[in-house]
Amino acid sequence: MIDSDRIIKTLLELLAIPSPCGFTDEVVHYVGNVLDDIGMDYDLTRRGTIRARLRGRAGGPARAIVTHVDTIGAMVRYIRDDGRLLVAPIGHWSSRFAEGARVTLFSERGAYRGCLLPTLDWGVSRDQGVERVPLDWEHIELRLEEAVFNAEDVRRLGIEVGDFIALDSQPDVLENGYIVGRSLDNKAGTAAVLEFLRHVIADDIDVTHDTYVLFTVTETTGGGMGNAILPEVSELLTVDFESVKPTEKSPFKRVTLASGDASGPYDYHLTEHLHQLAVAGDIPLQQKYLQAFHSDAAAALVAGHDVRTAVIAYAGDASHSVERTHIESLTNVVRMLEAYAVSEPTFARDAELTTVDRFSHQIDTRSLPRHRTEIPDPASVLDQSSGRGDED
Amino acid sequence: MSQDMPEIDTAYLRERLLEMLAIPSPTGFTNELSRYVCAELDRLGVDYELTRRGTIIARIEGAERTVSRAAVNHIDTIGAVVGELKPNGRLGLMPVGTWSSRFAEGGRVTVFARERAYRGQVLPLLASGHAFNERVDALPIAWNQIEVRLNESCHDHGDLVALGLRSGDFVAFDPDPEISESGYISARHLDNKAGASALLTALKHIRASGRRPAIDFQAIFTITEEVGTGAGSSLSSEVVEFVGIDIGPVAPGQNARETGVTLCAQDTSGPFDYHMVRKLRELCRAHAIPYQMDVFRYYYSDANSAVKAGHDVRDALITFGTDATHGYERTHLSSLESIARLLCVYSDAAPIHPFVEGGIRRFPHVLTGTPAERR
Repeated sequence: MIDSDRIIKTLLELLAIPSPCGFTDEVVHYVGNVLDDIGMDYDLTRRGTIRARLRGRAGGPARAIVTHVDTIGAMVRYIRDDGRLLVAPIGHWSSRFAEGARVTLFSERGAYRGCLLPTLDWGVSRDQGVERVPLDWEHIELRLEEAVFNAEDVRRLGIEVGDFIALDSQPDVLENGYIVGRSLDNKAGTAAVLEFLRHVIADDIDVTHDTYVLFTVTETTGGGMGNAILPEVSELLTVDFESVKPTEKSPFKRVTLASGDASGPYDYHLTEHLHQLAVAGDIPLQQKYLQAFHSDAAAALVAGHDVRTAVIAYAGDASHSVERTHIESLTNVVRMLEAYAVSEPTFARDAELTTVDRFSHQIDTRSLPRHRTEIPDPASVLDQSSGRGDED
Repeated sequence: MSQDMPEIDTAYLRERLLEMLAIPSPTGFTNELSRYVCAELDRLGVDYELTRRGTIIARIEGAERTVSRAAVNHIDTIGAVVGELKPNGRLGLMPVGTWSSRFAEGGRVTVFARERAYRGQVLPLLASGHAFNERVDALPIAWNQIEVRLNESCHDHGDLVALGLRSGDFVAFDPDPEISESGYISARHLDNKAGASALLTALKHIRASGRRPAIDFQAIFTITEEVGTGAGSSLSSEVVEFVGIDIGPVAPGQNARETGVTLCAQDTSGPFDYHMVRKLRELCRAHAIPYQMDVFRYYYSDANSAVKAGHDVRDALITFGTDATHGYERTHLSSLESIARLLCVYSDAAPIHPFVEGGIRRFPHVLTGTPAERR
């Protein structure tokens, strides 16, 4: 049974663990411990990507489901003479959403609390010029909640350029099913994937083929998956966060099947396979091209893996800001993952290199429109219209 | 300086730097410099492999041989190629690597046609105040606003063709090096020939010490960093640690300096490996090597190409702080010495968590303390 309370519990635990990209060891430990609890085997790369394995009943092509556990964050880039810190973003996000964020800074000598604020001449002209402060990272400063008034004070605390900064999630789980907080991207997806694994193991779901589940640590910067994808993997399904338009009608319960992203279209056949699974399983799903989206799918292809890629996303709002999703969208993601895990592979022959006679088609020639427009011979038209043909 | 390490041979470092600066090597035209580095490795008695494209993988055997670490340094530089043979007998340019045409203006160049090379100088389209007055100042800064005046008798397209010039011919900018008594080094292409001279110097010292590095120590000289693909194909699977050596921008708002090692915590491609950055910082402290931390916001290096290509390595970037990077660069000899010293002590250090067996219990942690107590 898919347990939505368990998804929420896992999600809140994940949100409690700071994991900006590059500072993900602790969340890797958390996921590793959960997998130990479930009783799943897994490997770990040096950089911390986890590769868990669900054994399938048949051999043939293997699959991978991938979710990232790193989040956006920031890093100290300069210590100002007045004891405030300038920061650089980790991942691509607007400084607009940094303003007001409460943060923890991790220094060599322990962690400190602070707040990201626009750079103003506070206390002198706070009622003037606030609206004119440009929205960029040059105009964001970190106020430490410590008695520091110059660069030396700051350095005395053990704080240095290069220290990691994690944003508070400040999660809010409402009775109506909405979940609000920073860093839902992609801890909500990770909570859904972990629920999928618990469900499969606890309820003894019959997985068709070996299915690897990857927890990656550098999606936020596009950094790839190391050598986590094994050669027998032919399909890669990514689970991630997607912002839906507020104007879309009741979008919050459904799953988005992405046809492609900024790096190009995903695999035609795997995407269609997932679409059919959603129809058969009565899972609310909408197919959509995500123009401004990046995911681990592209990183796998850049690293040279010959895999079919697809992305399913849970319905979110305001990505990389104060994000929101809905528990029903997450449970629908788990249903999609289950439907996928018990389905036949898109192509059984993907286990090996194919020959051209077995290779797939994308166009059914019977479906092609026929040209019915026959252009008349110009000479006959001209002759006819001028009456020249009659002169002879 | 630690007791177990002699003074860095700065005379050797300076000679290698000046010789490498003398060899033109814009990305795509690096064969001669690859050959030079190979010859130098032969002299040092360091084994190496050369890939078909010219990347050099040198290797000093370590005491432990199952895993290895790589110090990666690119030897290609920015430059240009001929874009257009112009009707006025001059050459239009396309940049090789990412750099502003502002810094190309005035550059003395060698243009390599297939049969022979020609000398010339890069000028703005309006190059004479006597002829164009204030219009000179209004000319935009862009690659299509500059051209090469060859020091040949050529006044039209046909003259250029007759000289054997073609679109795509490589253009190398003179480095104009100058090492002052104060230790400052001014030149183009310190990025990254200064890094290469520091790495060769480190190899010389590691060899001379007679000690075996802790684990296999690879020195990789890459040739396409400036276009973003340097280390994609040159890492073998036993490489667990990757230390890039490259230039670091010194500028207002940056923490880099022209002295000591500038350790980069994050560049455009994201944060470097937490444990590697901190290990290198510890080594600097333990061996009294001056250092500072910095974050480079508009910067890519070979580590990015390695990770993107799917290599499971812990990466770090050590830099020599340099003023006016990709322009009229200047660093200080002492920063190159510091880089060489850090590489020497790094070669002796134990690797970080090199083994992935043992599961999550053996995986490292990052948290070192708890947040201040909240009420």
